[in-house]
Amino acid sequence: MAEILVVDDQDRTIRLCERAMPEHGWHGPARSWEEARTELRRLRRRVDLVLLDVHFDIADESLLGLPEAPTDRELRRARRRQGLHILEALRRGHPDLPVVLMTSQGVGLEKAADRHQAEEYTYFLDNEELDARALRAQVENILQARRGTERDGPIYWGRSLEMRRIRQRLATLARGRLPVILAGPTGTGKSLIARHFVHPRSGRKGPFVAVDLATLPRDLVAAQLFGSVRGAYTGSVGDRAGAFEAADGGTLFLDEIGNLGEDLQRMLLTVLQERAVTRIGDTRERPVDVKLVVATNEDLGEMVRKGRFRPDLYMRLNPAATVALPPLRERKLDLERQLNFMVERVAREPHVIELIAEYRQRMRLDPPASGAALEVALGKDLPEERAGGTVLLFPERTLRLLRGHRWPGNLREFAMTVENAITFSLAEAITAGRRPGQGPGSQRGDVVQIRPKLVRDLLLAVRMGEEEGDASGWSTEVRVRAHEGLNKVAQDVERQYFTQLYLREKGDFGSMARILLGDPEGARKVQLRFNQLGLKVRELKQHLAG
Amino acid sequence: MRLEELDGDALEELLEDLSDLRHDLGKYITFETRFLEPGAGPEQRRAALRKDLHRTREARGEVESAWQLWARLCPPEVAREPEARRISAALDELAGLALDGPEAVLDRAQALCAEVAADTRALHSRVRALCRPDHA
Repeated sequence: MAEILVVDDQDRTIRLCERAMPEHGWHGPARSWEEARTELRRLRRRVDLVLLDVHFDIADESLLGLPEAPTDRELRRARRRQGLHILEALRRGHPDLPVVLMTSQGVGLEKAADRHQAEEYTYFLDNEELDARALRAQVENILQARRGTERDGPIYWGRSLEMRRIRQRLATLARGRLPVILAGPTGTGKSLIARHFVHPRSGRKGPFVAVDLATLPRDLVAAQLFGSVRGAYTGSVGDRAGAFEAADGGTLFLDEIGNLGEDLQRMLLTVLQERAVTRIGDTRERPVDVKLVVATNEDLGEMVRKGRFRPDLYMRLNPAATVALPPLRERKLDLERQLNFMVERVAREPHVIELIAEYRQRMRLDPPASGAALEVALGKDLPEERAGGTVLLFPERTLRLLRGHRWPGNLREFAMTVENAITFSLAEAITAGRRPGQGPGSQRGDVVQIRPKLVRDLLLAVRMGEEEGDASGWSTEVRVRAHEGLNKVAQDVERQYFTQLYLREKGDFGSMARILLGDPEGARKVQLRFNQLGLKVRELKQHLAG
Repeated sequence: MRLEELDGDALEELLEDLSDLRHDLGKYITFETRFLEPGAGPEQRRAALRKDLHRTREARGEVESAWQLWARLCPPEVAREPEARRISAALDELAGLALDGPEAVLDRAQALCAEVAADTRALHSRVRALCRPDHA
């Protein structure tokens, strides 16, 4: 199901679309740019596609692209080309949102059409010849193409330009012989990408072999990577092939390459230079052909500068083409889609399928229908009740918590939080035997709410170092005079702490509240305390502005 | 006066009028029927045809039929052109068709609507070619 916004001065297109493609969510018609902008804001970037008419017979004051004191002819022209003006306005805020411009061939818009068609996300549809089948085919093709670059198996790339570029770059790097460095904080999906994206696109028939250098005992790493012969070390009772040989003809993924010791770095360099491996304790070289993918959450360049990583090995790893995966908190625009993606995955887990069946039985609902077992609803938008379908509702307050969290554990933490939230919510609902929660959906048995309190508890339970401030901590300066009370000293410290936190969080009280109270909704409380301490927001804002 | 005798400005103005005609009448006179699923029953076809003919254009709270649009939008300069004559004749025949009649009437009505759409396009294209010979 996709969310499609129709921008058209007539009701007819959307009515026909709803009839021809009832499986999608249709919004609109927005009859002007103003209405389209409002809808796009309301739907908060959940729109997958825009169908945009070109000719808008609307009031003069709603028209874009008018000169001052327009003549009748200029008004008519603006109406006939209004869709192009709307497209230009839309592109300023939504450069990569697919837009289907519904116009006709030979009506004098060819030049403008050519210009827009050159963009990657603008499509044309000749609506004088259009029928339901052609429209459906066009819409499905676009959505399919979009979905195709949005997700690959268990990987969700999202829609941001940055993630699309990363995907494209990796697809290119996967094909060549050069190694690939995947950089990025823990939990950003480096291993998943190596296994499910790079390897399948490498064109190699051999296997995918992964070695985690962070968890292997140091003295076993060499044998694990390069293999060993009998008697090479104590306990080596037979000849053994290493990971390089096992991955011959395929892909070798070395996770946490920064953990490789100095001697092993040299050995790895030799293998890469010679394209041959020598087992530990052996003298015979064995040719190997592997696509090497390495991952690190450290800055290898910095390690080279500090003498902790060999510069010659670093250069061999193709550092110029390093792919840096951003932390989840920098992918907030995709968070809700990511949530949908995760729920889809979790919904396939056997224990979740069982819980849904149990819940529906407890609520005296029909057994779950296959293929429609679990649907996600965000905020207040509830889908219509479907036979055998269960809806997981993430109310606005829950969504705010998810959006406000910094996700130091990135996708790994996100996936676990979502799975826990779903499992616990279903379990709670089964135990309670009644419709949980209040607000939207509370009267519907097929709706299970993911309560904000549950999510808050889950997020607070896992607090990693980053949540508490910088690893090095902050220093405060306290001058205690003899006549000063302890309260004043404490306030002085508090003032300094608040100031530093305000600057670090760039004036975001919600973010400060999350850190101080574990609740981004406590922004008002933090602001009040700010005032009580006599801190001047205006001065700090000026400081932030530089 | 023949179309070929009109000067550049008059042709440009005429082209704009014909763009509106092509859009408002030509596009919408077959809009609902084009979206009928293959194998749609006579009642669905009847309903679609009624909308296409009697509620051809709905804008800013006003509803106009195909005949009203033709009367309002047909520029006098083209009234004697063959395409315009065919459109007039087709609309006259459509006005006389009883859409609650047998399916053969619906077939005829759909064919006439398609002719009107094609002729508005042809008229527009011909004038456009006169304005901008490079686009002929």
